[in-house]
Amino acid sequence: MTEDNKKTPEFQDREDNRSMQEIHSAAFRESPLPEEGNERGPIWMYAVIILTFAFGFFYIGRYLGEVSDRAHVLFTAPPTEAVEEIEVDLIAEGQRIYGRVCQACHQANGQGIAGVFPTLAGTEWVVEQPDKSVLMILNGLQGELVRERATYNGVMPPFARQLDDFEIAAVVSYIRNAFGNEGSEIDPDRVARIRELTADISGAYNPQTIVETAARIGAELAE
Amino acid sequence: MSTTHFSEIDSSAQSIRFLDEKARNVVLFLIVSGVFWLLFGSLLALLASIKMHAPDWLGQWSFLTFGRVRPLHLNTMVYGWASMTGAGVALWLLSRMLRVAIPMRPYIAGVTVIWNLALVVGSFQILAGYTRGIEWLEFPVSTMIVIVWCILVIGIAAMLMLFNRNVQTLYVSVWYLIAAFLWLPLLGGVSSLPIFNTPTVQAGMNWWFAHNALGLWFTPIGLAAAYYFIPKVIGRPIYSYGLSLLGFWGLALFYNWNGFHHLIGSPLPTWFITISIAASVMMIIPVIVVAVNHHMTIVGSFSAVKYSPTLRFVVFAAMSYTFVSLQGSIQALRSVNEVIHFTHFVVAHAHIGMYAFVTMMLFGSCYYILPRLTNWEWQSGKLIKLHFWLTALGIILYTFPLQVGGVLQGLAMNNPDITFSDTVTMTIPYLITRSVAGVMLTAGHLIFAYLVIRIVARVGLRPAVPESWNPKLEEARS
Amino acid sequence: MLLEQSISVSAGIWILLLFSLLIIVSGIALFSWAWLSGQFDDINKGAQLPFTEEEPAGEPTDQLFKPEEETHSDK
Repeated sequence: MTEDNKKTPEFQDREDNRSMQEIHSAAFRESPLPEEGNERGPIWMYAVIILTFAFGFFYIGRYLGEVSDRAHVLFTAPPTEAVEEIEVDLIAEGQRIYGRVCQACHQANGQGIAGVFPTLAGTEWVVEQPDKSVLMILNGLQGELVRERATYNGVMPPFARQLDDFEIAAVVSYIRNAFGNEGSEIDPDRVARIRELTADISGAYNPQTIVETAARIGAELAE
Repeated sequence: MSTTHFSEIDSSAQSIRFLDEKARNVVLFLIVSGVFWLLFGSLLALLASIKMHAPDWLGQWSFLTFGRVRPLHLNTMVYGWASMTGAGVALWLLSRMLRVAIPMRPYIAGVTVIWNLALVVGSFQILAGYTRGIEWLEFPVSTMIVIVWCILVIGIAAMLMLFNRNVQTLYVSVWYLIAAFLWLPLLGGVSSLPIFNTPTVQAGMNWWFAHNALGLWFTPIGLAAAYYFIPKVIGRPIYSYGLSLLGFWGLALFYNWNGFHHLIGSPLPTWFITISIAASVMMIIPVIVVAVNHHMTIVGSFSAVKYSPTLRFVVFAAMSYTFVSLQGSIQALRSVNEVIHFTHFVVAHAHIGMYAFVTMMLFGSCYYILPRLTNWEWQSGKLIKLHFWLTALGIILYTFPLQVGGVLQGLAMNNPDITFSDTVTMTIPYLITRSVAGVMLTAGHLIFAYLVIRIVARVGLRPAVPESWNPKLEEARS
Repeated sequence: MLLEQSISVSAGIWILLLFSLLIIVSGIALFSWAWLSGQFDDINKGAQLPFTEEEPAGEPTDQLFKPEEETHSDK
C-alpha cells in the first residue's frame, strides 16, 4: 500500500504525511509495517498477571477477618500482661498530651493569655486543689473567673470524651510539675472516681458550681 | 487495501466527513463549556493553593474561605471541565467508531444548557455555604441529580448510537465508552439516595462514589481516547486487540471495589477493606496490559509523537495512567497507607490521575477533534507547544515535590515526638512549589482557551494548505 | 438509639455491597452477550476498526509539528 501511494501522483492525503512517507520510504521498505492487532504480549507480562492473582488471593485469605457487619478490629494481638507491667512515665506522657491539647490556649510556658486563658504557673486550682483541674478538664468551664491577680473571661472546652482517665491524670500530673510548680502525681484511679461521681453533670461548670462540686466530691473521695 | 478510494470519495451517511458535520454543534458546545469551567476551576485552584501557605489571604470574605473555594474547585473541574469535555469527546469517538451520526442532537444541546446552569447554581450554593460536605459530592443533592440526569440523557444518545450502529464489531474504545455511560448514572443515582445517614456508611458511600467516578467514568473515557488516537495518529493498528479487551474486562471486574481503601483504619468491617485492598492490587493486571499494549504500538513511531500535538498529550497521559495506577495499587497496602494517609501525597496522587492522565488526554483529544469539526486550523503551533510544556512540566513540578513532602509529612505525623503543628509547617515549601506549578498550569489553560476560541470562532487567516484536513476530500465534496 | 444506629450501619453496607456486585454482574452479562453475539470471533479485525478508506492504516495523521523544510524538501 505504501508503495502504491508513492506512485500515485493524485495521492495528496495531508501534505506533510505524504512527504513523510517519502522521506522514510527506505525505512518502510526495509521493515514493512508489522501486521499488528493480534500479538500475544511479552512473557513477563503474564508472569506479572499470575503473581498479582497469587498476591490477591493470599491477601484476602490472610486478612479477611470476620465476615459480618462488625466494625474493624486491628489485626494486632491483644496486649499481653507484660505490656501492662511496663512502667509509664506519667509526666512525660502528660507533656505530650499538653502539647497536643492544651498548649494552643495555655501556651508552651503555661502562662496563658491575659484576660482570656488563665495561667497555670503557681495556680491554686492546679497546685493545691488538683481535683478542680480534673473537673475542669472533664466538663469544661465558662463564665467570668476572678482570681487574686487577674480576671479571665474565656471558655474551657470539655475533654471527657477525648481524654481517658490515664491521659487526664498524666496531663494534670504534668502541669503540677511544670512551669515552676511542684506537686504530687495524680493517680488515674482518682480521675476515674471523679468521673464516676460527676457522671450526672452535663454542660460546663461556672466558677461557682465548680467550687460546690469540688466540695461535694471532696467529701466522698475522702471516705 | 487499494488506493482507488480517493476518486470515489464516500460522501454517504457513513463517511467521517458527514459524521463530523452532524457532530459539530453538540460536541463543540460540550467542549467549549468544558473549557470555560476549566478556566473557572483553575482560578479557584490557585486561590485554594495559595491559601494553604497564606491562610489569612482573602479570609475576610466567608465565600472565599478555603472550605468553600477548594470544594468548588474540585466540583467544577470534575463535573464541569472533565465531565463535559469528556462527554463531548466520548460522543465524537462513538460517532466515529460506530459509524453513525449523533442522535438526539437538540436534546443533547438542551441538557448541555441545563448542565451549565446546574453548575452555575451549584457554584453559588457552595460559595454561599450550602454543601453536602462529602468530598466529590459537595453539590447539594438536588443539583447533583440534575447533573447526573444530564449525563444520563447523553448516555441514552450513546445507547441509541450503539443500537443503530453501522459496524458489527465493537472497537475496544466503544466498550469503554458505553460502560462509562452505564456506570456513571448508576453511581450518581446511588450516591444521591437518602439512605447513607450514619457516619461510617456515609464515608463508605463517599469513597465508593469518588473512586468509582474516577475509575468507571473518567478512566474509561481517557482510555477510549488513547485506544483511538494512538493507532490513528501513528497510522498503525493497536499492538494486540485481544490484550486491549482483556484490559477492559479487567477494569470492569476489579475497579469498583477499590474505593474502600480510602477508609483503612476506619470502623468499616475488616473484610470490606481487605477485599478492596486486594482489588486495588489486582488493578495491576489491566493496567500492565494497557501499558504494554500502548507502548508496543508506539515503539518505532516516536517521530509521530514528536510531530503530532495530539499524540504528545495522549502519550504523556497514557504514561501517567500507568504510573498513577501502579502507585495507587501500592498506596492501598495497609503498611504504605499508614504513612501517606491524610498527607499531601494523596492530593498529588489524585492530581496525577485527574490532571496528568484525564486532563492531558482531553487536551490531546481536543487538538485532534476541533480542526475536524470546525474545518479550520489551529492558529499557532508555537502556542500549542508552549501549552504542552507548561502543563507537562507544571504537573510534574506540582506532583513530584508534593509527594516527597507528603511522605516526610506522613513519617513526621507517625512520630509521637513531633508536635502536630511542626508537621504542618514543614510542608510549607512544598505548598509554595505547588502554587508556582499552579500558575504554570493556569497559564497553559489560558493559552488553550485562546486557541480554542480562535478555532471555534474561525478567527484569523486560514492556512493556505490545511495542516490537519484532507484537501482532496474538500474538493471532492464541492 | 445505639441499636437503631447499628441496624442502619449494616443496611447501608449491604446496599453498597449490592450495587458493587450489580456493577460486576452487569460486566459479566455484557461479556456473555459479547461472547454469544460473536464480538470476539475475529480479534484481528477489531484492531483495524479505527481506520477507514478515508484515513487508512499506514499513514500518520495530525503531524502538525513536522518541520517545513522536511515537508517540502522532496517536492
